[in-house]
Amino acid sequence: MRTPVLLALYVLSFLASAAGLRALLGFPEASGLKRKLAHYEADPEGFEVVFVGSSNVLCSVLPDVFREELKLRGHDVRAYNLGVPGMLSFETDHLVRHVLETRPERLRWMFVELTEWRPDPRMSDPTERTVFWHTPERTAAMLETARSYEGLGGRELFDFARDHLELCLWRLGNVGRVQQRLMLLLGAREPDRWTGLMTPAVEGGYLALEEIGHEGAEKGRERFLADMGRYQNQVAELRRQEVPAGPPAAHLVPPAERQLAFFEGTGVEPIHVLFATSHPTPTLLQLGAEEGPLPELWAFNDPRAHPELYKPRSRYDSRHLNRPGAERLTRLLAQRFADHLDRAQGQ
Amino acid sequence: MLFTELRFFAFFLVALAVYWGMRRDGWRKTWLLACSYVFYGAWDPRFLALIVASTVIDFFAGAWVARAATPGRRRLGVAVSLVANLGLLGFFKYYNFFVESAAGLLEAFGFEPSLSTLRIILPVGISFYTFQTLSYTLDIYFGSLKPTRSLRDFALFVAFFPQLVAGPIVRARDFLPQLDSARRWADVAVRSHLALFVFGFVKKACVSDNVAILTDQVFAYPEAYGVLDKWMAVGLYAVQIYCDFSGYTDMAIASAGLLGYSLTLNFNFPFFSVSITDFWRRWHISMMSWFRDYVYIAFGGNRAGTVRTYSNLLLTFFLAGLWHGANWNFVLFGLFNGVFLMVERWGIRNRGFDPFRPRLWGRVYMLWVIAMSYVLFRNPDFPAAWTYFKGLYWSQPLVAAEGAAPVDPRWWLVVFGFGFVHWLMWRRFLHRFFAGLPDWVVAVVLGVLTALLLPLLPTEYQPFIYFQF
Repeated sequence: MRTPVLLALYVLSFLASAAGLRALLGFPEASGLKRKLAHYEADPEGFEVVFVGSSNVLCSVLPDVFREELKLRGHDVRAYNLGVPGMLSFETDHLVRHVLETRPERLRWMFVELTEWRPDPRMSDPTERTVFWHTPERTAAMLETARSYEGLGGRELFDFARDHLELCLWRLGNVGRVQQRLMLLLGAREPDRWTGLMTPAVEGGYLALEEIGHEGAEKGRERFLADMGRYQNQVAELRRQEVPAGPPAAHLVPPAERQLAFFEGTGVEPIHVLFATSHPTPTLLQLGAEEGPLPELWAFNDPRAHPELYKPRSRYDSRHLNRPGAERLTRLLAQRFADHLDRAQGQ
Repeated sequence: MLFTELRFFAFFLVALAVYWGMRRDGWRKTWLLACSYVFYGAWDPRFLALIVASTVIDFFAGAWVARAATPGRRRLGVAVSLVANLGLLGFFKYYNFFVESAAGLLEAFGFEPSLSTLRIILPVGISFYTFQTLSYTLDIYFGSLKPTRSLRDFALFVAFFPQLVAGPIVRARDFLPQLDSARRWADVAVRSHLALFVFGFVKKACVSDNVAILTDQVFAYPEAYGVLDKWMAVGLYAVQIYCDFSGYTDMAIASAGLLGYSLTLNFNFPFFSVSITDFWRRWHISMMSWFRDYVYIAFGGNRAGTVRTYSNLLLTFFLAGLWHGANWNFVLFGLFNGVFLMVERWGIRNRGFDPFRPRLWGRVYMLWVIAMSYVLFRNPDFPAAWTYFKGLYWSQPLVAAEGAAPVDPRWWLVVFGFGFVHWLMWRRFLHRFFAGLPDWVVAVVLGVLTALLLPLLPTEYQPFIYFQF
């Protein structure tokens, strides 16, 4: 048989086997995502609302409080917190897409944490988790975003493209997917701390950082407490934050529109949220302004509007809220959501 | 650029496609030379100057030696080659080692030397290509080779990218004749070379790189582990280094084969050797045969009496140890093996002792000696090696210390699983099985195997162990 035919057979059998294996392996365990997702998808009743994003979501939204607050306003919705630490913008895209594709009947609203779609060095970390979400679609979106991102020179752009295309090819071959589990099984690697701490069935997926004893998080809190002046400066900067005039940055619009397109025809409404972090987000605020593509962008990162969220007693560290802070934010979210529902019913 | 990296695959596919797409053999060789320099320059383009210098010096030294009318002039040509090549190697690889050793010696005698070391980066593959270029001039000097007239062919022999950075150390007399005749795609055993590449890739990326995760942990903190754990780590290190180096060699031979060139065998199932003498005939064959021909035999071999024979043996292994790296541990590694070779030779000659019989005991003895020499090889210095060595026999509890995590006993499965597959290969069961299958079945099976094995790869590239040499 001729060499090209044999090569084609080799490639086909490889692609078919790799695709089968990929389906079998599913999501990586990283930071408890697989466990939370499994719990969310297996819930017999289903949820009307799901929150997707990073540790800002994980530690800011108490689904039980959300439901309780909405009940006071005459709405009964079940919500689940699908936040996991370290979730980056394009990974969030992947999760949003997955949740919509496999969505249970009851799902009606998805709250998506808005983080900037931009070239982030952490996106090219060669971990099982990063390899997993480097689908051809996601990789193409990243390359497009990088191309229109100001401040990325020719060489950097080339390196970025090379690194992400490589991760995309790795995904094709499921590189590292079994290795990391095997090393864990054989005790050659430490288990992921977050996965062990995650309690998907408790409090609707919420986690209070001050109650779990995570070493890395505790160090962050120590830094926060030791340098309160720095935090106060960050808050002062946030107070000065304004939505800049004009259209949003060129690199942000296509990914935002792409994410919105996932929702078309699903019957699920996207609501983007800026959580009470301590860094200014003027370019992201533009996405929710009149000329921006996002229909619903709810910003809670304004100390002028929500001073209580930025008081040290509400915070675990500069980026995350503690339980009292999360309760406050959840009630604010629920009240705004109730207004939103009331408006929709009125229409 | 590592053979396991995606960019190597892209590079190799382009190199291969353009190479076979060219009609004239001269163009192909020029293309391969350009590719080889790009491949080497990918590490550090500054070191291209070194390889070019080494090439030019030996090309002209070889021509000089061949044309020289008197023995004195011939010796002068060889001396220039030796001084230039060993000078480069000595400076880049051994300068700091010699300075530190000299300073240590002077301090031991009560002096206070003010010798300073330099921050020198070791050019990758220098030990390999230096030996290749040296062998060219030496072979001409010994009359076993005629010099090539083509600088391009010679440069390609030195820089041929499949074997440039970690061997096999190819002799000019084996490689240059291949450049004289045009390569034909029809002569390339595509199936067996692709299978060999995949097999080498699996050995390196799936086995060696994963095993390294554990061995690195145990060798870094041996005090935290029990006796059995340390024995297991030594066994796993044997698996790691074999899969790493022979995996590289497999991929090198396969890559060269797909380009129509054959490279020398470098490993011949060394762990089934029945003595240390036998082991060194099967492990890193190209290096040991180089030392045999240009050191052991050149210094008289076994033709100049018993004392000279033993001292030649010891010298050969001293240098072979030193070749591995600028570290006394490597010297001790070489001498340790050399001493066992001497004992074996003495036993066979004078006492009728034949470690080859019975074969099982020979293998157990060989594995023990090699395991002990790996303790020297793997540890960063002698005190660390001694601590580890002691921990294998005494001064350590049988199990991990309290509070330390013991090594999962299932790692033994890796050691024995490797042994079993190695045995299957040695007895050629797998070869026979695959040889009996139609081409299309092999293609499909290889595709499935690739899909099953890629998930076992670590997500970060690990350099080859022998790249540091």
